[in-house]
Amino acid sequence: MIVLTVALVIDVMKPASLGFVVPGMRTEYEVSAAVVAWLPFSALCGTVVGSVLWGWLADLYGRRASILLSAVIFVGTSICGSMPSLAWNVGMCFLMGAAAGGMLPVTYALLAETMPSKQRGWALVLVGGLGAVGGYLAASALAAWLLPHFGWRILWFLNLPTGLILVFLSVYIPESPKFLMALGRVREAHAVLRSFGCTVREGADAVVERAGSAFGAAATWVRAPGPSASPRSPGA
Amino acid sequence: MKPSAASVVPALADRRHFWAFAGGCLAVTLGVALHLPMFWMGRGNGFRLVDMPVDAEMIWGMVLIVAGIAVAGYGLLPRRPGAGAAEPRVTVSAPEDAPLGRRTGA
Repeated sequence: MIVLTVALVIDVMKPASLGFVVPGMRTEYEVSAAVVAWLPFSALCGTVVGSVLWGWLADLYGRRASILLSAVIFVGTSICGSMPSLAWNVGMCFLMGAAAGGMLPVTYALLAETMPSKQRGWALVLVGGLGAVGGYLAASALAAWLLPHFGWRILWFLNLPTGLILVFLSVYIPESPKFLMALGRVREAHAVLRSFGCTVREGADAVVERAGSAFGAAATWVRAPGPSASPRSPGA
Repeated sequence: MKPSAASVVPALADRRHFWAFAGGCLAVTLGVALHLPMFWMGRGNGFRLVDMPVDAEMIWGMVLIVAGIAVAGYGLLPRRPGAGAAEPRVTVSAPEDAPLGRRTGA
């Protein structure tokens, strides 16, 4: 849960950084507020496109791998900081938004598939809230610290360390058991659930596993043996 | 940090080509690093790079980044499930009454 919050912090840091970047850009490129507004517009458009695209990719790659791949693209787009014209910056910002847009929905999907339904609401709001507050706090602190010495461009280059941190931290992000099951990797899904503290109880009609998860949460795995054995088996 | 689910299904052991992913990450990092000299060149004038030419290092850096992302994406593709592994009648869901903050069961 902490690592997923860090992922959200890194995600939110970028739109938060825009506010600190735009004044420097206006001065350097000598453009009006209306022209420089293309930057946040393209970044947000990228985030929308990225959210849709990554939702599809997360079904192909898995939740954890999607966060990883979006972090790698995020690292790549840090070169926005060395672009010599506004057009380059606007293009890079679109790609950066598309990369960061992958983290947001996939992180929530991963959380929602792991948290028990009773706790899911407040847990998602808590993680989302911490991510937003943390992102704005981190962006503000780093801007106050780095901007006077290195200019606005350094805020884009920050994607390099933050993206790499996320790649390394992803070791601690569990893959969604639901995704593993969807791929037919029952044994691995079982292993994930068991690592959350599962007990396996086999009954005449169903195998039920209860798991207190690494998030302090729990999941139940119901494996129905026949078409009518369990109402929780819609595919039966 | 305690061993968690992530260590049970090792981070990228379930991917087709872990080394392709690692190589892709390295290429992207190197590609970004190739842009740093241009950034540092601007230290004399407040890091203003407006109208500076895009030099060969930056072009090669961009090529490395694009290629690195493609290779990393290829490396991250999941392995195909084994024969007979598909279990369409299985559902995974969270129980309503699970307590947070402590483990249940073994």
